[in-house]
Amino acid sequence: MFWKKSGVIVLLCAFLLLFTACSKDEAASGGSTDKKQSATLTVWIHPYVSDELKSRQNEVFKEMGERFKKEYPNVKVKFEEIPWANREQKILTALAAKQGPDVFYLIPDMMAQFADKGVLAPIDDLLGDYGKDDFDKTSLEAVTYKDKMYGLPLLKEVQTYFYNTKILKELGGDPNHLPQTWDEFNALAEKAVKKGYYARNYEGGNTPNATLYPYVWQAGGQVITDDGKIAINKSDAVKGFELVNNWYKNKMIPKDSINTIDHLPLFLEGKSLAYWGTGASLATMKEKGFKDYAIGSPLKNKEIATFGTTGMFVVSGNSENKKLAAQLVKSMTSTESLKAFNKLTKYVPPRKSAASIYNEDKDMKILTEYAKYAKPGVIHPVSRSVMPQIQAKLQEMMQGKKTPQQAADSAAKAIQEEMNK
Amino acid sequence: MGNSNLSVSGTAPHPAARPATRAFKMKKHWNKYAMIYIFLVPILVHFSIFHLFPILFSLYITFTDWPIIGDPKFIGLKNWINFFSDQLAWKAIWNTILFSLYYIVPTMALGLCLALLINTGKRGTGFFKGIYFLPVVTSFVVISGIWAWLFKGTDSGFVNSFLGLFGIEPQLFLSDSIQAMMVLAGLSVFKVCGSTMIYYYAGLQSVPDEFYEAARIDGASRWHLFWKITFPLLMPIHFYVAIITTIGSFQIFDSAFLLTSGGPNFSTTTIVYYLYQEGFTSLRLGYASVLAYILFFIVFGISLIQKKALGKEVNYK
Repeated sequence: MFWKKSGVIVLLCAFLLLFTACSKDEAASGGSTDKKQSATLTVWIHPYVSDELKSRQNEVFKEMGERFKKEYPNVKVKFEEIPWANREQKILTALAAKQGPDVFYLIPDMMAQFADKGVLAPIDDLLGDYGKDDFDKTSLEAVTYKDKMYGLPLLKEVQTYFYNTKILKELGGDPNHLPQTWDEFNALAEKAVKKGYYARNYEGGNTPNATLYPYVWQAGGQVITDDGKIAINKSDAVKGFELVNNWYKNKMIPKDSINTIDHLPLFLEGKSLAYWGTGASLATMKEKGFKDYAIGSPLKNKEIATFGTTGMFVVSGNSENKKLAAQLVKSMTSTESLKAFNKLTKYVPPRKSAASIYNEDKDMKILTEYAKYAKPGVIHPVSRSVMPQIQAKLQEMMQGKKTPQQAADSAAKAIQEEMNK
Repeated sequence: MGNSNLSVSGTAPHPAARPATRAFKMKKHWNKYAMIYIFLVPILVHFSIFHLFPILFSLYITFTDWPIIGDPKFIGLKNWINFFSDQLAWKAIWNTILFSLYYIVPTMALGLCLALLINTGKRGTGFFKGIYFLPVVTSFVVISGIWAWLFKGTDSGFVNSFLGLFGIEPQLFLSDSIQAMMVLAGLSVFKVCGSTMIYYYAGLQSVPDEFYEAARIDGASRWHLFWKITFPLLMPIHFYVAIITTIGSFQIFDSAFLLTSGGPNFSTTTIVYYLYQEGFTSLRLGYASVLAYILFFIVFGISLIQKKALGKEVNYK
């Protein structure tokens, strides 16, 4: 009798242990992906298009939700639109209050900072097969921090040159043979200045992602190396500072380049040979009826490189349904989803299988081609917080208070201090 | 009449009578002030939750390393010590003082001038009252956009084009460390002087006409009427406006955020802008809270000085 009773108790205990072990395992990994389970997932999105196109954006996300619902019929996906302004503040305060979304949108430097603070859930083990080979390499690098993936890419942006073909011809240039190297561009820039034009825009009020890093990379330099060493003041990187300094000193860029944030009107008014911009600039040009342009490649000194952010969907570390949320991210970055989203927003799709959306659009096809040169910025926890410092050193250089080497050295010092904090 | 517990001889009441007296007094007090206490409850609750708690919590945060997410890590006085060696924080304080110098007196002077203009009582002053007040109710974003266009640092900028008519070289404005702060202050003066106008206008209504009549009989000129009657009698308004514009100037954020992003070279990084960057870009809430407390000490100190200097009552009898 004793053994019988004991046996039942032992069996019960073993069953309970097994049960709790399973639950713990599921809880630790953020719930299960049982296709019949019911849950509500909240996704924070942003206005990726102008107000006129907002209803179409809503449709695109609604379709994404419905696509996911086909696979997970009992899961409700709630899209909430958050304005761009102060978005990190909103996300962080919501997450700090253990609220906020299961899935939200980030760019690489924010991702590194958030991942470093433990805000995000690594999703490598939660995704399953997501078609790794279909994504372009740089976009997957952009969602990876310390060898862990924290999201899947939704969009890519690429910065490159748009030339005013009228001015180009006036200067003896050929729209079919646009500058490829620093030397070729600078030769043309000198001619432009002599004719009373600016060579290009330079919006020094923007982040170094747009105003410095592309030139550092083109010169073969780096800001912070992959193993976390500061390289912004190494000889190759300093060439990037020198390039900007020469442009400013030789009046190739406008006088207010130190702190302005918008030089597109100058280009549209026909005062500048080239405009360093993105697909969004192209959309504005078309909207304003500006037709005399040709799209050129990002330049090369040692290598061709440019900046282009990679927008991604990430999973919140707070989410109670991390596995489901990761599956939602996978679904929202499927070929179908990326085609619909990028076709509307005019970004470059990070999946090769979605690139066909621009087969009929000559300009976007060129930008999609150049996207392979686009780096997503500096992926390091301090990359975002150190940006104002680097921007200030660059401005000091342009004001003539520092030489390029001094500006690079003080930028390196600022990065070091930020790393020490 | 009188208190029934007091003895006729005036000696102290019997000890047993004391609690009854206290209870009676409390009841009387409660009957008299009950409504006041009841009406005070909501505001006290509101104050405790939305003011007192954040003030005390942020004081606690100053002693921690807290990136908003997770639990704050206690680090003692490290944030406070760091403040003293943070050159950027001192630069931000200096920038804020500079902004105040460009902002406070022009805001008060312009507000007073506008109030005097609309106080003439002539036809159409109501219309101008509305026009002068318009910037106050207009969004900072809109005004900043207009000012960015006006003060573009290229030849095609509106103000530069105007200066060009007089042969003046195009100015850098927002790309120049000194001019950028002046443009920022100009924008804020433009945005706020409508409010100060209203305060002064209200003050002008309370200056009795008899003073002016008596002075006019004595042969006082307009100049004398203003400096000897209007200006001194507006002293409480000067004091109030000085305090609120000073506090406002030390809290300046919007225009620095929208127009210059704190640049060029941190020349328009004000203390609140720096606080915002430290808190929400660098995720150092502890240090940002130290900056908030430093800001509080500065504003509190200046308000005390202003109270001493301007808080004198002026009475003409």
